[in-house]
Amino acid sequence: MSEFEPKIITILCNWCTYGAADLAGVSRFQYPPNIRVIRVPCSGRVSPKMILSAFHNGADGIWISGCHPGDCHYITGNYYARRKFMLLKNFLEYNGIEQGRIHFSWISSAEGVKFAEVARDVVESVRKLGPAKYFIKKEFIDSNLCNCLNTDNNPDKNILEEQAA
Amino acid sequence: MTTNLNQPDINKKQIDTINQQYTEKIREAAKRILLEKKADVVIGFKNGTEPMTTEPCLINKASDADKLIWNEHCCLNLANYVKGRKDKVAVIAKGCDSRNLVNHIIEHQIKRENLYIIGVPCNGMVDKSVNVKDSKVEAESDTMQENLDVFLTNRDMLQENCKTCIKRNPVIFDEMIAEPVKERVWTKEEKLKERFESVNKIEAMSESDRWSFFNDMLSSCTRCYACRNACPLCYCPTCFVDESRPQWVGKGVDPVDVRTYHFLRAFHLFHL
Repeated sequence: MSEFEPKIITILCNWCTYGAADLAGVSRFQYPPNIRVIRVPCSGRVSPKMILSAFHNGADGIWISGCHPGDCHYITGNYYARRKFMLLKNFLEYNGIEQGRIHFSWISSAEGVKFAEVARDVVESVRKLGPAKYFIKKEFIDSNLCNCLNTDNNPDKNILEEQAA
Repeated sequence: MTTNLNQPDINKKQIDTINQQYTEKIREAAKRILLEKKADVVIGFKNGTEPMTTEPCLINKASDADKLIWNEHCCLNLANYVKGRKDKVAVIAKGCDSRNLVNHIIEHQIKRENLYIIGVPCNGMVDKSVNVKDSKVEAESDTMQENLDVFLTNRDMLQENCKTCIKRNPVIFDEMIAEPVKERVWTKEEKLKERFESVNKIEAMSESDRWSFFNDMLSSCTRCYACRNACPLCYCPTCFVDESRPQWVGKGVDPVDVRTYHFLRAFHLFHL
């Protein structure tokens, strides 16, 4: 009933995995709706700052995906990404982040099926771990909640207003 | 411990003799380099204002060369004072400093031809944070000087990074002021067991213990950025914590921001 639904920040490279996501959608492959996609020109564009920032803002998991090594639109971007991420993943785990919160994959724009599969795997592994415990900034989460409460279409706000009146 | 460290026994007298010899050689070299105009400035150490401290010292006149000294408190990394300089610089380098100089040359922070490296074989630097009063030394001696003597000859008092040092002699130099010292040879088992002892200790912890271990370690951090200033590898024109559009890391002492700062700085230093 009230099973935990993880929020997963997903950063996809414009040329490969974003295309795969598009293909998966057009082909009507089913995958869980827990991912929030951010499109970047290349997986090499992704900085560790962004990954930590996602955790600060309440993400339960991160998934970054780009072109297969050797197929980068910018020739070498994903080699940089691969190096960076291998170190980052190990270092985050050394710091105490659980294995399975951060995922990296290489999916070409022809692999819609693989995209849906990996999306399911990522969501499942983060769901198993439960809500994020580390690198969360309290003030961000609180202010986001306040923003939600202040929007006009927020049912809670209407209730609050009714109670106030 | 002495035999463990693969180093010969050293007593205070020997240390004093070595320090004196090194100091004399350093002054001599500094004078010669400045007179022969091999460099515009010599970077070395002078005595600090408190006992057991030294300060980095830049001299540009041969007559000032007698300010320079050498002892077991010259722990600062002088490679930090070289980066970005446009003049010709002579710098005094221990093994660790020389490795940083190599890094700066590779990363184009300084030109090799503008650098004159005075190599100093290093016997290890003393860890000032080890409290003399806590050890049994105090009960046995009365005067400050005697305390220091015992303190200096105890190899356990070395800085952690000196205990696990792999390059005590400079890896790059234009002249050496003394014969190289014996390097410690690590077998593979020793390397894994002893050299990375502290790393292994953390690796053996559970995830949550690891998280709290680093949190405890960073709990006293006030974000003064002295670590960034002292770091010979930190030379970004704009540090990621100073970026404001977008601001990825908060500037206050929120524990998560502090943690993020140290995490990303460490990551940034070993990647790229």
